[in-house]
Parts: sequence; C-alpha cells; structure tokens
Amino acid sequence: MNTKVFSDDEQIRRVWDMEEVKDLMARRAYMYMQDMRRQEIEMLWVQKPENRETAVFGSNWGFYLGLDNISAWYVGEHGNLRQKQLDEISKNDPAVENKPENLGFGSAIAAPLSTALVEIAGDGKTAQGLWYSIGQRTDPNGDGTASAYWVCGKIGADFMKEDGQWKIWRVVEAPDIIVTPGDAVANQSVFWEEGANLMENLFGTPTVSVTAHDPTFNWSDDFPHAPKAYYTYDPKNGCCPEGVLNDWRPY
Amino acid sequence: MKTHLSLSQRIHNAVGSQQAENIHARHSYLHGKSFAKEEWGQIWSRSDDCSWAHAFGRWRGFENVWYGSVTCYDAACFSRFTQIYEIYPQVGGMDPRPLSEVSCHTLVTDIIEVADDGKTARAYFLTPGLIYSTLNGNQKKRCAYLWERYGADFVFEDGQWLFLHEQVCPDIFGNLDDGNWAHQKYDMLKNPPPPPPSGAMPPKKDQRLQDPGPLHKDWTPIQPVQDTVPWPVPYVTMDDDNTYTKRR
Amino acid sequence: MNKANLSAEELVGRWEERREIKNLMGRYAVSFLLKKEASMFADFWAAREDVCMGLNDGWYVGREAIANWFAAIDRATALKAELLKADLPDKLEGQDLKDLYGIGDFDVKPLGTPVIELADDLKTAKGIWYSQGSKADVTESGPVSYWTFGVFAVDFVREDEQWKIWHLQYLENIKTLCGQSWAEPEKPFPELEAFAVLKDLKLPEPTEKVTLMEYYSPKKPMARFPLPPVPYDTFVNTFSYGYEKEV
Repeated sequence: MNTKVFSDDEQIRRVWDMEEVKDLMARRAYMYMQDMRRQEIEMLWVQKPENRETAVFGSNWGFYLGLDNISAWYVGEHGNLRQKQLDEISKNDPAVENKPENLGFGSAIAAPLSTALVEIAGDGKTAQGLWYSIGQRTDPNGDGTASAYWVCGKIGADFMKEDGQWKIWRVVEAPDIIVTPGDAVANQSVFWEEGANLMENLFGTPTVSVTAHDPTFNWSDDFPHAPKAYYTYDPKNGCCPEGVLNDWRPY
Repeated sequence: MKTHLSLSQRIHNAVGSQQAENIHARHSYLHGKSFAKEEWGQIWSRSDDCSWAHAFGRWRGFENVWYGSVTCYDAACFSRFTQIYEIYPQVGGMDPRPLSEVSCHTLVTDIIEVADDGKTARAYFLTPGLIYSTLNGNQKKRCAYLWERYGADFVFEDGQWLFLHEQVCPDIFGNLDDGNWAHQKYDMLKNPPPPPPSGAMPPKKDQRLQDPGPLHKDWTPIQPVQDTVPWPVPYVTMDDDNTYTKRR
Repeated sequence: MNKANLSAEELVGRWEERREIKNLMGRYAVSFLLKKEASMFADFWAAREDVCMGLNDGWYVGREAIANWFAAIDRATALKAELLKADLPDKLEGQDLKDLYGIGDFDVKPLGTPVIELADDLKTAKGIWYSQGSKADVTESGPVSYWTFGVFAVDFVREDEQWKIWHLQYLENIKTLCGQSWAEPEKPFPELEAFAVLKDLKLPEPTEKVTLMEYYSPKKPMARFPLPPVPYDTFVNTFSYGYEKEV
C-alpha cells in the first residue's frame, strides 16, 4: 500500500514519472519492431552494474537473470536467427545479398502496447506497469514464403530510476494466444504439443526454467501482475521469479 | 493551458486524468480474470447515480449494476465451469471465474477530459479486444475479436477516483482469424439465414434493465454511422450535456 | 530539458499540452470511424501552407493536395452509399441518401504505443502512435474488411492557442483481407456487377510520388518505420516527420 500524502509539487512530478515510464516502454516497442535490440538494451535498460545484475527478462517458461544473460539471448540468439534466415534466403535467391543491411529480410514483427496500468512507488525509486499487446510475428521460411502469426498477451515491466532517468529493469512477455492468420484457433490442438509453441521455441534456454504463466488456465495465475499502489519495491509483486504465484493451483 | 484554475486544481485534474486511464485499465485486467466482485467492489462508486450500459440496455443504480455485472456474470462463469470440470479434472479446486474466459478489452485512442471543478472526469476509448479460452465444453480452443467503443465517467469520492458510468458499444465480433467480417455481414444481407424455429430461443430472463436496449447496434454494411458515446469535450461540471448517462 | 529544474506550474502546463495532443490525435483517429472526412482537414490541420501528409505511396504537399484527398474520400463515401442502396433495395429503399452517408465503411484506426515530445519552447510537438486497425470498405467485390498494421508519425504546431497537425505520416506495412494471411498472396473476393464502377475509383495521386512504405512481402526487406521523437528545444534542432525535398 502507498498511503503517503504528496504535496502538489511532488504530485506533478509523479504525474510526469508516469508519462515517462509509458513513453519508455513505447520506445522499446518501436525498437523491438525494427530489430534494434542492441540499442534497446544499451539505451533503455538499466546500466549501473548492481542493476544490470538484477535485471530480468521473463516469459511463460522462465527467466533470464542479469543483463548479460538477457543480451546473450535477446540480442545474440535473435541475431543468429536473423543471420540463419538470411543465409537461407540468399542461398535460394542470390539476388538477395547476404549483407548486414539485409538482416530481417522477409520478416515483420510488432508488439504494440495498449491498456497501460502504471504505478509509481511511493518512494519514487521504482515503477511497475502492465500492458496488453495484440501483435504479430512473421518469419521467412527461406524459400520465398513466410509464416505469420498473431501473438497476443500481457507485457509486464518493472522500472528503476538511474541518475534521474527511468530505465527498464525487468520485463515479462506472457503470450496467451498464437493464431495463424486465415485459420481459426479452434483448429489448434487444445494443449500445445511438445516443440509446437513458436514463442516457447524462441525463448531458448532461460537461466531459470519455471512455468510462470500457463495460458491453458487463462489468467488464473495472474502473472505478470496488474500492479497495485505500493511504497517500496517488493520482488514478490515483481516481474521476476519471486513474483510467480503458485497458490492459484491447488497442487 | 488551464490557467484559469489554481495550480492545486490543475495538478488535481492531471492526476484525475491519469487515474481515469489507470482505473479503466484495472477494469480491463480484472474483467480479463472475470473478477467481477473485485472490480465492482473496489473501483466503482456505490452511488445511486452509477450506471453500466451495453448494446442490450443500461442498469442504473449500484444495486442493479451489481446484479447485472456481478451476480449474473458470476453465474455465467460457474455455468461454464460445470461444462468443463468433467472433461478437464485438473481444474479441480481452482477459482472457476478465470477459467471461464479471458475477456480482454484493450484500451487505446484515449480522449480524456477532467471537469474544471475537479469532481468528475470523462474518457473515451477504442477497445479492439479479444475473448479467448483454452478449456471449453466442446474441447476446442476459442478466440474471438471483439471491437468496441467505451464512454466512461469517473467521480472523485472520499479522496479517490472511481467509475461512475460506463457505456460499452460493440461494433464487430468474429473468430480470429478465419473469416472476413464485412463480407460475411454482406452475405447475410444478400442471403439471410432462415429464422430460428419457433420456440428455439430460450426465454429472456428479467435482466432488471432500467433503460432497455438496443442502445447501439453491431456494424453491418447498411448500419448508418453511430456516435453513441461522443468523445468528451472540455467542461466545467458534469451535467446532462457532459455525461455518458443522462438523468431521467 | 531537465524537468527537475521546472516549477510545478511549468510542469502541469506542459502536462496539459501533452494531454491536449493525445486528445487531438484521438479525435482525429475517431473521425475516420465517424466518417467525418468532409470536415477533418478544417477541424484538425494547421492553416499554414506548408502542411503535408505522407502515405505509403508518397507525399501530399500543401493545403490543396491534402484537402483534395479528403474531398475525394468524401465523394467516394457518398458514391458507396448510393451503390449499396441500389444493391440492397429491400433493405434501404425509401431512405434518404444523406442519412445513409457512411454505410459500408467502418474505419478503425486505434492509437496505442504513444511517444510524445513537446519542444522546450512549446511552439511545436511531435508524436508517434502504433495503429493495429481494421477497416471495412466497399470495393468492386462489395463490402470487405482488412486488418491493418501501421504508424502515425506527426508534427504538431500551435496556432491561435490550439495544437494543430502540421506534418503527418500514416504508413502501413500490413494490409490484409481479414481471414487471410499477410504472408501469402491475397485471394480477392469475386467482383460484383453492382460495384463494378468502384474498380476505377482512385484517390488523388500524391504530389510527390515516392515509396515511403511497402506492404509486407516475404520477398522484401524489413519495413523501416519513422523513429520516435527525441527531446528537443525548438523545431529547427530536431528531425521532421514532414516532406523534405531531396537536394
């Protein structure tokens, strides 16, 4: 709970804190859709060593802990995937040059943000937010065709102020629905077969493997959380392994 | 700039505007879990003036809103639970409400005004949303798009901002993503489906609606433009020209 | 600008301007849904001559070009109502065409993911929004609907104490018939005699024809969208979302 009473001056600065947090997360969305992942990590995420160490990137299947691990997967493995895709495209169509400017050829990706719910900590040091994203991911198959998907789910994030500027500290992307455009979701099997979930495959091998969100049961697990008013950051309510709730599932 | 107001009033109104966004988003996430009791118990005014409206009509007064939005909603959730527990026994012991579905009404295109008197706020949103669930009685996943418009009024009561009025205007609905909604509606106009056999429709329960609908109609190719919840404009105080529920 | 050095009054004033810009763009986007193209140019755009609008195929530079674009949509809307009325006499006979203006069309351009920057001097502002939209249109195949993915990138200017649109880009990288995949070639609906006249209906060409955005194809590079605005003091010291003649 945050029961602190703020002065007018404090209040209007907190109003701006909320706007800056929303802008920051939106900037991330624009970088994400242009594969500017290295720039995102360098410009938008925490940079102080102690904060880098506690940075988190999570999804339904677990968490990458620490910004170096996050970068290795989020930037490194994604870059490898794009290079592999381009290798294949160039091999099949020599007119497409295999050069860095062509990375991302044949792909499109977007995780736009809606439904912003943001809380600034009473102590002003951190913030938490939740968004919903109706997005898409389209990857080339290498032979001149591509596979497209609607990807929809919640995106939660924790933020921290470094030298007066808001930075992304922890993110959880929790896809619920993956739908092939032109095909009804009713045609999918009720439970994902092993290796069939695109987003799980792309999530790689996280530092901590745990079921953080299981969309089989809709939003029963409430993860990532809808932030509530709070005074100081508690990882139990955060976008991190400690924030994963288990009491919704009886055993 | 609102320089005709005091600095303190202007800051109060800026907070109110942000709270209108946050409270509406909190609605979206609570509703996505079908947590009706939590939603109407925590973020709504209990005033007799409160109202909630959909295409089918409007409830007025907190007691009626609660009946329609909590009592009846919970009953529908529990009914869905009874359709699945024998097929999927792993749901045993779980809260039946979130198992019902994710009814996710996203919020975008916000247009928000706070009254100069600081007592109310008004917000318009487009809500391109989704309704989905994995465990269903027919043993098939489902996911539908549902695009609507929201008109919402908020009130500042006892130091906090709360929902006062909400009007939901559904426009398009269908399966994601195996049909062309405009072409399907056109086909239905050209080749109307036969009416349901007499007696096939269940009798409608008394919904205790104070303003029976329709208040808004689904889009079809012959539906004239509807502006059921006009966007808010700057206003001084809430009155019948600046509200999503006029007094009767 | 370091906000820590601003007074509460300055901060709340800047916040009010930011809210005004969001409201302006919200009203602009909703006006497409409400079929207000006949008045949108006058309602939302700046009165100055150097306004411009960028769409996928190029730039509409100057007041006349943009006004003509809106006027063409207005005429097309009226024609589509007329065609639907003729095609569905059992449903629409006897109804006044004025009352039917806008039928068949449903243009939802939701605005999310906003990044907004106000100039320090408060004379201009910049914003970008992502729009995952849907649009019903009356075509030579009758009414059909599309999913659209794109961005609005906009420069605003203050005129007579009000924010107005100065430069606007609306660029889509995906526009696909609902129920089909944007990764596959479009499968158009059969053409219908009642709407054949629409086949040749074209909006005015851009004044500066240049490809600002191509629709997605597995055989094209990844789309490059305009970048979000960055903090700036005055407009000459930042980039523009407007047309800049190549020299």
